[in-house]
Amino acid sequence: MKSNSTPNKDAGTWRLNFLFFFFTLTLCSSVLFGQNTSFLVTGKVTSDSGNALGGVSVQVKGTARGTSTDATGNYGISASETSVLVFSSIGYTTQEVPVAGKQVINVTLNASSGQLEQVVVVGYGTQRKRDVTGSVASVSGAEIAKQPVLTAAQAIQGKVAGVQILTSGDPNSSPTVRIRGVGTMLGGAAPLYVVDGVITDDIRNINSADITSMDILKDASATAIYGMRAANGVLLITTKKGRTGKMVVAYDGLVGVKEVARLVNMAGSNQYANYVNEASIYYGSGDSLIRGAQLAAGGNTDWYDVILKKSLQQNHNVSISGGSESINYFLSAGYVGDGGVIKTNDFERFTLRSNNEYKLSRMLRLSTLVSYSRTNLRDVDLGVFDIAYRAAPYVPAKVGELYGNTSLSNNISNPLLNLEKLNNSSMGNRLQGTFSGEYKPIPWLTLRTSYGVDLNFYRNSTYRYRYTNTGANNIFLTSGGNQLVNRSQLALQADNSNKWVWDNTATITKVIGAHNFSLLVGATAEEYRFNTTRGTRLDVPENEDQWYLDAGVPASATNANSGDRWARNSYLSRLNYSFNNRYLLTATYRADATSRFPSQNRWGYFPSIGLGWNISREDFMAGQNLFDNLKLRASWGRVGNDQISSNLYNPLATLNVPYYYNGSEYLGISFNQAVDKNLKWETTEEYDLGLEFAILKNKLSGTIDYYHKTTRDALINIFFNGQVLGDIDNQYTTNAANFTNKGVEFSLNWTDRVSKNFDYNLNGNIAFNQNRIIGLNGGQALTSGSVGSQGFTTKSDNGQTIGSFFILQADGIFQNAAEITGSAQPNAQPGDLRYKDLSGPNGKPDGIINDLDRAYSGSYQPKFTFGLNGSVNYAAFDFSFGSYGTSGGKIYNAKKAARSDARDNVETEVAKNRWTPNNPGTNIPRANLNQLPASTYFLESGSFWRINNLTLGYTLPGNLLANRFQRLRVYVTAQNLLTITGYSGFTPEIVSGNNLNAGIEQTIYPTTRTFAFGVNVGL
Amino acid sequence: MKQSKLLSKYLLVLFIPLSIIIILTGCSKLLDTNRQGGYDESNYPYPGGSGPYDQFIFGAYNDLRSYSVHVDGFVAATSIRSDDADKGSTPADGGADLISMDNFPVLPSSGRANALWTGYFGLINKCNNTLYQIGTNAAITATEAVKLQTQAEARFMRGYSYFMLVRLFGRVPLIDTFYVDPAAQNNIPQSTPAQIYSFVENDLNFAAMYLPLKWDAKFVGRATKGMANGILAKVYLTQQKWALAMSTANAVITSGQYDLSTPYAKIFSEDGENSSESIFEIQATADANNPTSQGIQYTSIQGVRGAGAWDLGWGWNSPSTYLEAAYEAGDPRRARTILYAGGTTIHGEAVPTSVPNPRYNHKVHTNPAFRSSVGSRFGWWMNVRILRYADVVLMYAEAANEMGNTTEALEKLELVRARARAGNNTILPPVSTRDQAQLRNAIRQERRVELAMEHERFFDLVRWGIAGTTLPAAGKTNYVDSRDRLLPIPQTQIDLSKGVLTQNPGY
Repeated sequence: MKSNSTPNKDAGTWRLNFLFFFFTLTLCSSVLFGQNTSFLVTGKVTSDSGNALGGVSVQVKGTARGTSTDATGNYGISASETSVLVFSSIGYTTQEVPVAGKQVINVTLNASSGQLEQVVVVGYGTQRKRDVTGSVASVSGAEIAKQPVLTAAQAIQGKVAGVQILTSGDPNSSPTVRIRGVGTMLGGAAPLYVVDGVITDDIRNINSADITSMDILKDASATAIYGMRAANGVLLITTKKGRTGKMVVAYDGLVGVKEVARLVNMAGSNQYANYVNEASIYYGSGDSLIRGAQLAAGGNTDWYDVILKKSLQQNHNVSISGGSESINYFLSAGYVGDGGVIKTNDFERFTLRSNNEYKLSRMLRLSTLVSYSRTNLRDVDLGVFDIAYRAAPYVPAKVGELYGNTSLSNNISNPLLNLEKLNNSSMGNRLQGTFSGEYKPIPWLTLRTSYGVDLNFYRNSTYRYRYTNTGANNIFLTSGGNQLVNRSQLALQADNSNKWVWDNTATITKVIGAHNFSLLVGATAEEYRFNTTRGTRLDVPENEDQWYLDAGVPASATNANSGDRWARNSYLSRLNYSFNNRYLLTATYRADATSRFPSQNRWGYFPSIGLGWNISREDFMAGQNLFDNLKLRASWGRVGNDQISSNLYNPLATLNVPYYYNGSEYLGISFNQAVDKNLKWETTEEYDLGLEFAILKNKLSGTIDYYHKTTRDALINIFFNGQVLGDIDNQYTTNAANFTNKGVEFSLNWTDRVSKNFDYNLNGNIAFNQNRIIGLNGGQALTSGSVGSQGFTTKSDNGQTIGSFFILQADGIFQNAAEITGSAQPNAQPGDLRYKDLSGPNGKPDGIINDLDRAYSGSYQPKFTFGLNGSVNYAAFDFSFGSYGTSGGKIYNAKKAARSDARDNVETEVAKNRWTPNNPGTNIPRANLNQLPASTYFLESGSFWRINNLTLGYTLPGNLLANRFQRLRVYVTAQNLLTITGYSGFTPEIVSGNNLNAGIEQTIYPTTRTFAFGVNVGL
Repeated sequence: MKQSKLLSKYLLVLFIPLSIIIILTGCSKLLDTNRQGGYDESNYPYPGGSGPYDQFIFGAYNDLRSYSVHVDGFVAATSIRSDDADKGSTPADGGADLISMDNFPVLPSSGRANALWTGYFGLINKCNNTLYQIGTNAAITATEAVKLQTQAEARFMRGYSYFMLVRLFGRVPLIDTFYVDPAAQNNIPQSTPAQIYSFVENDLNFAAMYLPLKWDAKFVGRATKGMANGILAKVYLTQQKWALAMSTANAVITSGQYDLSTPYAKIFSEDGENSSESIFEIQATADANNPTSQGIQYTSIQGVRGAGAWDLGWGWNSPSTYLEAAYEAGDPRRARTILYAGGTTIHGEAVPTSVPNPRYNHKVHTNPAFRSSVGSRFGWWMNVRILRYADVVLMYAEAANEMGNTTEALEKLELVRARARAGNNTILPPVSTRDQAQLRNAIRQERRVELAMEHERFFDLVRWGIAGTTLPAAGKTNYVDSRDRLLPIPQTQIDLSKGVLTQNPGY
């Protein structure tokens, strides 16, 4: 190991080198500055339907010089006699027009529904869609911004085949994103986000209104350029830039109401009392648990009503953009307010963005992209969602200032009290900036350097109020029980992290006859440092102005401080070659080194190759008029995953283990974690075969992809007989598992412009995926997902899907004593669930129901996911809808399964329709005193179809705007309007970072529905 | 001119990518990111000067306070399994596992058996690490004497741990070295009890040779020659190596460090900690700000299970009626051992009659003055007495009798009885029989009452070979000697070993 001082010095050298490099760039560019005589060319761009087209990119071919048209379609650009102007815009066919001495050039662009000319961001560069050999998809910023959700990833739910997005109503949560199945077992499961070329793990700071487009890279040909982190797919976000021309001021606002989308009906007091008393009288002590007097004195509390709320949701964004020939600017400010749906929850985010581009010369461009975000969050303990399920309904929630004493009724805390007597507030400040320079010394070479920083400052203060359950300060309606906090506590935590990424690339582009080459080479490095400090003290006063550690009792003080640090260094290259625009080749090679692995295994090598054939451009296709586009793609590549904790290959010393002689402390040290000193990269190899087509004059287009991914050396925890060697938990992290994901994806898109006033679009996608573990290489099957005292519920074993449920098989209900006699459950009673006796110690049924009778029962992973989206524009009205669904996944209803006290509440359905001798035909077992074992009784289908978004807008006609506004649109939108599902819990969408047990609903923030009114104004 | 401009252009084209490559490759140190806020084996800053290995050996001492080493499983396996104690508390408290320690058989799934296994192996690992550091760590400079002394401390605790393991489980893996890469070098099979005893003897002999007779007052309770010899005497006694047991016990007796001058009533109180009676005590302490973190939970799980001010603990390990009946008439040790519901404590407090159990372990009863100064009723500050001088004296007597040295045996037995008498010559008359078998029984009887509730009884019954008759006679009718004298090898460990570890007979 090197000493600590070296890397610091190293970092200093880095900065020096960076400055030197930058100066060199600037210096050289001025030396080489040269110009031909140029003049101003102006003109207007219109669409084939005759409308003025704003935002069309106008570029002088072969140079970095460019501008774009203003809202009225006009542009002005400096060009020379021999220049060629390139006009391009998303959705239109690009046109090239030689200047040839003309000073006014008006252009009409033809709509290209197939979007073949569309430029997609592919990582360290862009490509025309038709040249891409990998599987990529794009979603426009407008599509994203219209949905009232926090992050852009949430807004693409259902839009892209094979991209599964799971969202919750938690105001500050990141969605779970799975691209082409579950791509890892233990490593980071989140995809890689790349914002304006800078890689990041968290995009909650990005204002959706600032986004131009989001590109999703799905196969290895596309992702391998991000080798080390690409195993779970890559989402590229491009933010808005200013356009040359008049200043544009825009305001977009939305105000709405957010509420819980689905509720579960819990039994009321009488139903509840009947149920628990029946359980106790017939199957327990023989005595009632709840007396009539208790019911009469109590209330009838719907605990979910008590802890849930509706709240106001609002988004406001103001942006100013524009530019001249030498500078483009985009400045925006955004505000999101979201009160959540659980009481005391509250969230606000304020964002600022400044994206500037400076054209210092024809050859040199600089850009600064800086964003700041500030978040304020009052968080809630999601455990209340579980205890509200169990809390007895006859206990009043709160009367005046006094709370109902649930700990007396069924030994759980009062969920409302939990929310109100804990203040968990945090504030985040995040500054993200990218400074880049692009230098084109000669037309075929582009040199680019970019330095990105991501600073994150976070502070949390958690105040636990003091309250007691007896005596003068008792806060309960009935004193006693065990819910109390003897001493108030303040816990303060301050985190800061600093990450820098430095990318340097050189791109050579050459066209030699029909051969089109583009070669990218580059080097990147990044480093992350994190520091967290935490302190607590007791007896801090309730007054919020006193919420500082100094206000507490010094003797009670605790403090803790720790940190993290990791780094990566990578070299990358990509060759794009096309011949005659027909035959396409993309080859990439990336070498990555990560500090997370020991030095001998640090480097990972990630190659890929993609081939494409634009069949429709072949001569033999010239005569046909069926296909407007027909393209075949095939690719192979390898990507990696290093997303495990830092320094896992180094055993951690446990410090400060004390012993006391004569009352004095003597500190010791111990090592109690075995490690794999040979950790290495988890790699995923992927094949993809794709077909893209467009027919009927591009009205109907579609894509079919088949893929096969094999993940090898997946990082998992292996259990071993390690405690005798001092390993405290009998496990260590190593590369052991292999698994595959294979599937087929289809998407179809129908777009028709019926008339100037009427166009519509309908698109659908469906993706099938199958996940299988194909080897554990000496590792054991991983069990996970423990629910109460049920033990584990999932098991990931060879030949199974990751996170498969492994539980007892419920097989109906015992109706009478005769059925019980001779069964494997001799102690059962009529009305009990019968479980299948599948096996025993000798692999044969043994007449005993125990863990050996567990069986695989499906997993949370859906067999297929699908989306159906559409839009209609008719005159001034626009209408759009988005829907999303999954099929074949399973969910374990753990709120129901965790019911463990005889006095816990049950659902209305259970109370009403439980088995009794008079109600034998039900599938719900008799009234129960205890927690039932983990079985398929609690497992439900997680399939659902949901209307994600419905929006109706009206754009005021120009004559009403009296030239005050360029644009004024009003709209109403409903997010998550309707979910059709057979699942009985709160949400079939489980946001979880743990791939081994992601299908368990217990303490999950409920899904929410939002109705909102919005306005878009352009000045 | 044009030519040179072109040239410079191309030079630049070459220069920039090259410089990028050079800059980046020059920074391979970037990736050597040391663990932040934590040390590993390679970079721990060892202090120089005296006691350079202290932090490693203190890591081992710390384990002596562990819940898995000297608290829950320890009390259950050494005391509740014996005929001297019942489980105590309410009938269901502690669950099926604790009940099985009282009534047998303990199941292979027993969490307590597994905790004892992992607890003692954890302690062994810390001893092995200390030995490894002494053997290999070039960054520490220390004199040979310091190295030997620290090795002796480590080998004392390792020998003691294996002595516990061999008596609890019989066959266990013998791990005599620190595994640098446990992930690659694991799954050691079990050794026979004979191999383990031989290993324990080696460790304790080494420890006895290099440990100091006593430490400076500030280190009171740290491993001494007396501890090593005392435990070693018991190791010999267990193997019926009578001559060695006698000579080793004699080394303790003649060391001049210990005597029987402490009154029996005082030995177990806070003010009797580390007295001249004490040979091996687990050190614990507490104050108002740290009522538990510096101590051990040993006392708390056995304290009187009353309400309010009499909620002193969980009430486990309740002295049995068989123990109560074992005392000779008038033996004052009974009152110091058994605290009765409705009785009076050593500190003069009246125990309510309403407490759930009729009898509690009086030897762990805390002084109310400490309860009030610490602000806790649960006695985490009480040291745990592992080996005291009377035990060594009785070991000597037992070995002497077996060797036919009746006079010596009677003399040592009388030393213990004389102290118990506390000047009252109407009780506990001196034993005078010279019949070897009768004297053997007298010594066994004396061990039982003198060391009652002090974790000797179950192991004593097993080594005397009378557990199979004594325990069923004391109501433990499920006890099957061929199976129950050893705990089951924890099923968890067998599973993790993929069958390399094998189960004890009968389970």
